[in-house]
This record gives sequence, structure tokens and C-alpha cells, in this order.
Amino acid sequence: MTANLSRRGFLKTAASATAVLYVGATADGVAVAAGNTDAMLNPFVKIGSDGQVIAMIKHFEKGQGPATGLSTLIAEELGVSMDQIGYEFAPSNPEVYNNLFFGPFQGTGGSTAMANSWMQYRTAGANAREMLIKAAAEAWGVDASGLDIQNGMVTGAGQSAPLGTFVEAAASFAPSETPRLRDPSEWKIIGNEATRRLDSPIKVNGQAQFGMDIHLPNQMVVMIKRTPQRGGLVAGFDDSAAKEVKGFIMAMPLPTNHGVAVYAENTWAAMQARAAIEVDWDMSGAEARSSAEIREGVMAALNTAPVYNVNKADQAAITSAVDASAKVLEKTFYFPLLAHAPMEPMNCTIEQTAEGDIVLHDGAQMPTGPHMAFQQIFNLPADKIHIKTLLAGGSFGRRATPEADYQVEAALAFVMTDRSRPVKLVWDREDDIRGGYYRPATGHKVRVGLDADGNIAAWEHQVAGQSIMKGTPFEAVAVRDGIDNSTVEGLADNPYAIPNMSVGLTDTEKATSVLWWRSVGHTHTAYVMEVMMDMAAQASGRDPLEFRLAYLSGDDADSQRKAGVLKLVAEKANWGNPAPGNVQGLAVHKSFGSYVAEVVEVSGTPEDGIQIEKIVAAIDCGIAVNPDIVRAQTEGAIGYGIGHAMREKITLDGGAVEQSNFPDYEPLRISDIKAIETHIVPSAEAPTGVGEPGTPPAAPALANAIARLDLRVAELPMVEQGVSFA
Amino acid sequence: MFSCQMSVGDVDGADVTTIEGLSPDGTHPLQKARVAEQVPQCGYCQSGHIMRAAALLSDNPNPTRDEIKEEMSQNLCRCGTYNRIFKAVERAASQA
Ligand code: FES
Repeated sequence: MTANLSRRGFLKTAASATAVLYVGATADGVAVAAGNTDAMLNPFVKIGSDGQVIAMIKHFEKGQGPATGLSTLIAEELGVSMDQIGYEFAPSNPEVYNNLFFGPFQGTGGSTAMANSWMQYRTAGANAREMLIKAAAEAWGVDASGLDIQNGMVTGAGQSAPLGTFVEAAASFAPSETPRLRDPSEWKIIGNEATRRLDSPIKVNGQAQFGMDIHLPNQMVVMIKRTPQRGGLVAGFDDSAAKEVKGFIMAMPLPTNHGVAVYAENTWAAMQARAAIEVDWDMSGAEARSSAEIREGVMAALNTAPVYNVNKADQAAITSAVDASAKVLEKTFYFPLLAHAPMEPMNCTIEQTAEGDIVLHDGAQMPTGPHMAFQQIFNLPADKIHIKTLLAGGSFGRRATPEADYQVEAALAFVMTDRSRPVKLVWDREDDIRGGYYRPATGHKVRVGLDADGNIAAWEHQVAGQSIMKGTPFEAVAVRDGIDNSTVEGLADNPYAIPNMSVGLTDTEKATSVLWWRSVGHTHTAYVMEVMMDMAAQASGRDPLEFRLAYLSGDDADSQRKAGVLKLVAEKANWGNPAPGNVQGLAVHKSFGSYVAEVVEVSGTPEDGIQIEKIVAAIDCGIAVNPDIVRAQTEGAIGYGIGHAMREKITLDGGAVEQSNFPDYEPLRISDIKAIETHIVPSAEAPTGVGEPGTPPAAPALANAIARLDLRVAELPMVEQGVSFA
Repeated sequence: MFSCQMSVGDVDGADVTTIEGLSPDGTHPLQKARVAEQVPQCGYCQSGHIMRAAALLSDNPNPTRDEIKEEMSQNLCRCGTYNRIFKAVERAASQA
């Protein structure tokens, strides 16, 4: 049996099997139903009488590993090896497959895939095991307590048979509400260094199917002629030149007038035709500012009293305490707009079935978003809309917009046709970089007062930036008392025991469109916290590691775990003893429930070129279900943080994005980091986030290394602040 | 060769190997090394990286780290799998 079974392959086999056992699970992880009929349509695990085991994956796979990780939980509890289990992406159904941290909403984000599924998938697997064992015990006339399943064989009481043997009988049992979960001492796959990803083979032989690979019979390709300035509207257009393009079908303004949909026989024809179309734009409501103006707005907000008192501190008293300190460190920081720029630009395909159902083929990060939007657009009940989730070529947050932007765009383009032909919407890289969504531009102003002994006496912190959540459907849950936590997360709630801290916030006007970007607010809050801690250590003549540990001396878990990653990274990176000629920088941050510390070691000088020689990371993410995926994600998250800090930014000129593709939005390259390694803190705690927590400490650790070369970078990207890279 | 920078006419009469044809069953040393080193994350860039590495190894079966860096720096990976790309090329070279 291969590791990856297509749905068709499974059904075909299952049809030849005499029975299938389906086991589902509720939000509490309790199995809700089991059976051998289609009554159980949305299971978490399916087991055929031929022994095939399929895990249903409720999260989409953009490389962060849920297909492997959630299959691991089922395999471990059920008692099969990883080459005896396959996976399928679950259909869109928020009642069954919701993210337990998101409420009635199916979606992936916030590094929650494993954390929210941990008990649910284990319980489903354990229930399947218990039902099969009960069936075996009855068949053999023995006591169930002496039986177990290992490597797909039910074994005990002197007997042994493949688990498929008992599927038919097991399917008639009701599942238990409290199946016995395997004790960690029994685990063979969870935490096993040798467990390989299930999706690697298809990603190295060309078989992996991404949204961009979809090619339905008779499909049309649609590309959108977009406004150069966000918010511009189509006032008129001329497609006479496009009519000369072979393969051009038609052009029509989107019903929203945000662009002109260009329909063609293939992508090339759509590109050519789109280039030939002239649009008359109404820019009266469009973004018209330049990056300099956006920056001025943020800085102006930092120079007035903050609107929101985030941690309800006595701000006047803290300002006085800073003023009265023996030494005051003051710094203003600025972070530019950034694009996510996943390798696969946005795309999706829509078709209508003979029964009038709508099918969306999409690397869907938040299926509930387009599912709800499509009910309105197509005026159909939820069960007439189907979402087939495909692999996604990266996201970093981009594939999950509150308004389901590109799926809605495709749906609007589709409803303007007679629906006889599937419509594939294709964005190119330029669409993505110029017309997409951006990490908000944000500024911080911090004043830290040190006492005569070099200890922190008071910390006054002010943030100004564009709220991600306000004005979206997520505002109701994500904004409290006017405060969008995603702008200030990682400051007042930081595990450091900082005395007399005030955090203020002012929202600035939204520039173009903003969106969560890998690690969201932590991308800038960690930078500011960790650079200020480093400056404070420097100013008081103390070692940056020792200084940080002094503020993590509490015996609470938060302090201990944050101190734990610091100590581990210091040991592994040989902190304080860089190679001759090199300097080191340190940073640590908690995000998405996990703790990550990083040491960046560099050679060279800012003038002649910095080379990142080595990055060492330590992560505490609770139980590492797949340690090597944890390491891979941490490496990738670090690279993402470093690459953007080095040289990336999105700038606007008269409201139009100036960058367009990788030559002018240059990602991390293979030569930028010579070596990188990650160490995992052993833990018995439930798993927490892994996809994002590696990003926040990366840029400040690099900045703190460069600070040892007498350059303190408080504005990104670094290449514009006097840092050159080798 | 980048397929996106080559027109079909330019390869008229030539043999073209794509990722699908690198091996009949996914057992080319580079493919096995990528699975073993858990290189792919999203996977979208991987076909390009593998074909570039295959070209490198066919010209230079034992590249140094600098030679790997030089050759592979023509491809990008947004997921940041670079660290493992080095390891996979070295593993494949040692086993080819
Ligand atoms: S693996 Fe995602 S871009 Fe390389």
C-alpha cells in the first residue's frame, strides 16, 4: 500500500472491500459515530476491511506538516505503522472539521493545526482501536483487555489477525466516550526521529497536485486586469486590441468594478489579452499615499498620547518613573509593509455539476470563508457547495483573507458566464506582489528607565500601526475595548517580569490592505522587545543572556520555559565564545504557545558586508510530534524572518505598489545563511505552535549581532540602514 | 535550463527531461535524498531545485559546498528549505 491514496483509489478499493469502519470525533475529542454505511460521511478515520487506513485531514497542507502530523496521531493510537496509513484532505464542513480554537469555523492559521487537533485525532484513533479489539475479542471468545493492535495486526491471547478482519463487526458497535489513549511510554511514532513526511514522495516526483495544476476539461482561464492603486474602480475599458489575441474569449468588469475579468482559452492568451486591454480607472476612492506619507502618519501617532491603554497601566506614573531613572534608553522603531509572496500565486478553479452544485478546487486555508461567501453569490444552501482542498504552494497567511478575496473573485467571474465551462482564476506573481495584502506598517517608541544598578526601573512603550482585524468579520472576537491584540501581542503579555510597564496603542489609517503575515504582531513586537532588552543589557554592562534570565527567574511555567530555551540555545551555540572574528546576537520570544530562542553568529562588518555564519535555535513547543518537521519549520521560519529583515519591503508611490516580482522583492537566498540548526526542549506538555514561532526572534537576534559591530538598527529593512550583506 | 525561459521551438529535436521523467519510480538518488532529509515543505519549488541539482551532479558528481551554493543559488525557495537542499545534494552525491 502506498502512503498517499487518492480518494478515487480508496473508494474503488473500499467498494471491493466488504465493509468500511468510519470513526468521527466531536470537539471534545469524543467519538460521535461509527458505522459501515454512508451515514457517517465525515469521519476522522476510515478503515477498510482490506486493511486500508485513511486519516481525514481537516487542515490544509502548505508545507507545515499537518498531513503527516495528524496521520501520525491516528496511526499511533490505532496501532499501524506510517506506511500502513494514507490521508485525504477533509471536505468543507465546519460542524465536523472546525478548528477547535476558531469556533464554528474550519481553517488553518495561528500555528494551531496540531495544537487544536491533538486530543481529537488521538481519540478518534483510540476509538477505532477499541472497536476493532472488541470485535476480535468476541470473534475469538477472549477477554478484550489482553488484546492490542500493533503494525496493523490485532494480537493477543495466542491469536493474531490483520485489523481489516474485524472491520465489519466493529462497525456495528457504538464508540466509547472515553477510549483509553496510549500512554506516552507506548508511543512508537510520536516523537520518533525516523518518521518521514507522508507528502515528500509526491513532492519530489512531480505528482503533487497544487491548485495551479488543475486542468479541467473545457476550462477557461480568467485573469484580472487590476487597478494599480487599491480601491480604484473600472469606469470604462477598451478590449479591441485584445480581440486580436488568439485564444481570447471575452472581457467584462467584475460586478464590484474592482477590475476587468479577462477570459481566455489558456493562461498565455489571458496574459496577452490582459496586457492589450485599456482601462479607464476612477481613482477617486483609491489609495493615493506614498510610503513616506504612511511612515509620517505612524510617526505622528507615536508623538502624541496613545489612544488605547493596552495593559491599564498608570501611564503618567510610569512616565515619571522613567524620567526619574538613573539612565534612560529611548528608541523609535519602524517596520514597513511586507508581502507574503508564497511561491504559488493565488489561484482556484470553479465548476458547476450537472446537478447544479458548485465545486471549488482550491488550496483552501479557510474553507468556511469561501463556503459562506459562495452561498450568497450562488444563492445555494451549504450542502450544494463543495470544496476540494489541494496542496498549497505556501501561504504565510496570504491564502486566508477574511473576505475570501480570490475565491470570491473567481466566483464573480464564474457567475458572469453561462457556467457551461469551468473557470480557473490565475494570479501571476505581479498580481500577488502589487495587488495583494500586506503586513501592516507599524512603529514603536520605547523609553526604558534603568536604576543605578542597571536594572529595569520602568518601561514606557507605545505602538502605532494599522489594525488587521478592525473592519473584518473577525473584529467581534479579535478586538476588545478597541484594542486589536494582533498589533500589540508579545508586549504586555511577554513572560519577562518587567516592572512598571505601560503599553499604549494608536491605530493609524489603513494603507492599501493589510493582513496577518507569518507570526502577525510578533513580527515587530519581538524585534522591539528583544532589541530593547539587548540595549538595556549593554547599557548596564551585563551579558545579554544573564540579563534576560534575571527577568525570567519566576517559578511559573512561562518564565521557566522561556528561560529553558535560552539556556539550551546558549549551550548549543557556545554563547559568548564565537569563532575568532565573529560576533553573536541573542533573542528569545514566546508566540503561539511556544518558546524560541536564537543565536545568530555573523562575520564581516556592516560597511564591507555581513555574512551570517550560523544560526542556532532552541524551541519548546510541548511534545514534538514529528521532531524533524519541528526543526524544518523552525529553520524555514527563521529564514523567513531573516530574509525580510535583510532587504524586503513593499513601498507605495502615489498609492501604487512599486515592487512587482522577486528581482525587486528579493527573498532569502541559499547563500544568505551558511548554517542553521534547531534543538528541541524535551517536554511532556501538549503540543503548541510550530509554523510561526521561529520567525519573531530571528530578525532581532541578527540585529543584536550587528549591534556588536556598533550599528543599532531600529528600522527595517537593514540594507537601507547602512548594513550590507556579503 | 529554466523551462519558463525556454520556448518549445528552442528544444526542437532535443531530449527534455522533466521532474516526471527523472526516474520511473522516484528512486533517483536526489529524490531519495530529498525524502530522507525532509527537504520539501510546500513543495512548489522542489521540482526546479531537483532538476537543477540533477544537472549539477551529472556535470560534477562530487561538488563542494561552494559549488552547490553557486549552482543552487539560481533557484529560490520561499519556505526556506536551503539548509536541507545542501544536505540532500551532498547525500545524493555520496550515494550516486
Ligand atoms: S518548499 Fe515551498 S517554496 Fe520551496
